[in-house]
Amino acid sequence: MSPESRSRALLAWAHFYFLLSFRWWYATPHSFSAEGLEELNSLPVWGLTWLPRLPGPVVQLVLQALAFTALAGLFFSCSESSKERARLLLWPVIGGKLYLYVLDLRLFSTYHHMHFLMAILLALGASRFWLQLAMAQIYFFSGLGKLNESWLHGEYFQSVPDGLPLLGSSPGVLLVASCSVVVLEFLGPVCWFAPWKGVRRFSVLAFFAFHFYSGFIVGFRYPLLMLPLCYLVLWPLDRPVQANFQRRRRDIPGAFLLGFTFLIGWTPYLVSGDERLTAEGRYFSIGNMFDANREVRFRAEFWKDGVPYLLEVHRSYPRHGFYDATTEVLLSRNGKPREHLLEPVPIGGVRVSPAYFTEAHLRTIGDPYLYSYFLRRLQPDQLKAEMKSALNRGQEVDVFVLEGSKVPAFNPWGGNRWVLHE
Amino acid sequence: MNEPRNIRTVLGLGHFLFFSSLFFAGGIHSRTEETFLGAPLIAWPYFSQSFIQGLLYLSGLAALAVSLEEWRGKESRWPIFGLFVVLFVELYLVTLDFRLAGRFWWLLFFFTLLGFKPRDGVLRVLSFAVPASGFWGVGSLLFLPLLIRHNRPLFGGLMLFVGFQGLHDSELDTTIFAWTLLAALFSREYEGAIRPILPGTALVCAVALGSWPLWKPLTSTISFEYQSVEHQLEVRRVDNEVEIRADGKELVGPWYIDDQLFANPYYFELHPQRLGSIKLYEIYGEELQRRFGVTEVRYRQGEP
Repeated sequence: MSPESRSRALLAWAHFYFLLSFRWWYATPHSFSAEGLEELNSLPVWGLTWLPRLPGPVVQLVLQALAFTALAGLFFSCSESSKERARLLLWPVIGGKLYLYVLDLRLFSTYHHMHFLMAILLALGASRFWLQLAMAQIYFFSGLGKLNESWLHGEYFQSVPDGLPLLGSSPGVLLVASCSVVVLEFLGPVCWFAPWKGVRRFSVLAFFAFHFYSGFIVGFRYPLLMLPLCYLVLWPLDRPVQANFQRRRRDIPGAFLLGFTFLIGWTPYLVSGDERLTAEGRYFSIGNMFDANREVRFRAEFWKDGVPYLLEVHRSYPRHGFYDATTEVLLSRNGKPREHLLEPVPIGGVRVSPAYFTEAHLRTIGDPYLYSYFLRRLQPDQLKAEMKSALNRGQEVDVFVLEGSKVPAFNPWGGNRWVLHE
Repeated sequence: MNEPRNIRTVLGLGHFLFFSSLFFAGGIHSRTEETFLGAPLIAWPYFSQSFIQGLLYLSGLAALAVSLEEWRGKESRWPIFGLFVVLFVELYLVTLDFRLAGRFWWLLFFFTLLGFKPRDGVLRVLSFAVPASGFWGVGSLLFLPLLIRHNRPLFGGLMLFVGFQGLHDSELDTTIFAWTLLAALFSREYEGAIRPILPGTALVCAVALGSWPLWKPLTSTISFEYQSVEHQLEVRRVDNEVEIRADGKELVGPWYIDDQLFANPYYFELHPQRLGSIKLYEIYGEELQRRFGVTEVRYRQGEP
């Protein structure tokens, strides 16, 4: 593949993934709309509650317009003459996606982080060396995030009912599979710098196999991000990565960006406590999609406008595979029996949607910020709340216990004394 | 962009969108019974969820590979076989859950049949079936002059029309498919002919009239007797929104009678355009009879 075709294919890939992102988000306009925030069906990123939000129908229009722009970028990347237009069109879609992304933390996933990083590097016109370095960084942080019992002891895979597709549920096999992923993510990128072509290629092929297989578990989102990247950025690795380095002024912004993501990526590992439970610093790293399988219980007894309430949230372990878990939300008002909350209800002056909890994915449902923001929005007169988590079918532990009338804010950089770190 | 291979690029993308939207879907694997979501046309034995997800994943990747291969402009025959396999898998899936054979799938199906041996003229005429099957279907008559001679403002107008229609229909996949299809067929200047305008007009009218039941407001009522008590489920569709009432109360979650699951609202809500089909209620009624031995299942359908 010529460098020219490769660069156009990368632009096409970036636009295609933008198209898919907007298509996924089209199904959840409440995440971005003013109505969604008002109905407490959106979790703004820390400190960004002030960001303006559009009405629901306009959000759909914006998402469609962004999808159309991404599609136009895809078409422009078809020919050499319009390649520059395709590159320029990356900026509005990056801006659009970034704006929407920070409106709801429940959307935060590492594959979106990775897509942002690569798309910005492409828009900046970074050379292949920096793209390869970005891939190495992604895998390095993915490996770093797995240095815990979930992966090193194989607890995560062993806690999944029915085991893994094609590999079964034997604990030994699952332990080997789990440790192999960690080894691959740490050592794989190192091989790209090796002087031996065979080693470099074997490493890339191992990543191909890994990403291809992961699709049987997680669906299209992750493989469609990584498989094209592995091919277009890495393959065939005729030369070691460092041989692609060139001194170019144009690469300076990309180099700074990679330096920034490298530094900030350490955050979850520098903050004390188990980030799988505290969620402190978690979203600043560009790697590690899965940290643990979990069960979460949240219980809040509170008074609002003179009425006593009891709210319970329970996210069970998946009954099948990785994702088939339900989140139940129960509410009791004024001492009446608890009832399943199935649609938005007013509590005091706030409308509370059960979807706020049920739409939170595996990691966010265990994030203390989800509950802290919820309670701060309610502003109860008196409160007694607790959250417990169990990881990988292990023992349940307290994540926080709150009592009083004030709900503390959550600091994503750590130092939340109300979150239990032991 | 109006060469045959580019049509297959669009078709590959369309099939990928179809498969990828089903990855976590219920109603097509062995857990269908538990969730009360199944609407099978043929009583195939169900496979496990992992198997179906694997099938969807591989089929989706195959569809994308077809798209990519045709985009690269390589003269090879395997994409034709690829499309054939993809279509075969889809036929299996739609017999497992007939609701999947909605507007988007039928459009994909017909275009794929023509995509095996594409003829530009026929495809251009048929492309008007996409907007014609939407809510403002007859409105696409306004853009028929595109068939005579490509006109950029007119083309831009049609793209906007498809977009606005998609906003009403809440179907981004169909809109993406329509945009790419129209771009592939009309983005290059060509010498047109007056002839296609007649079949084009006839097609738009036929599709728009035929598709109206997909959008019109309706109310369907299913009544049955269970343990000597009369129960009623009412499904209303107004402006593409579905409202379900069970024994007079709005149903927002599963419907239980004596701790038994009698209805999953997703069965009706997931594909609002299929609510006009009496088959949906027949399958539901048969399932009630099979599971709970209910008697006298009656259906009634009309305007709200």
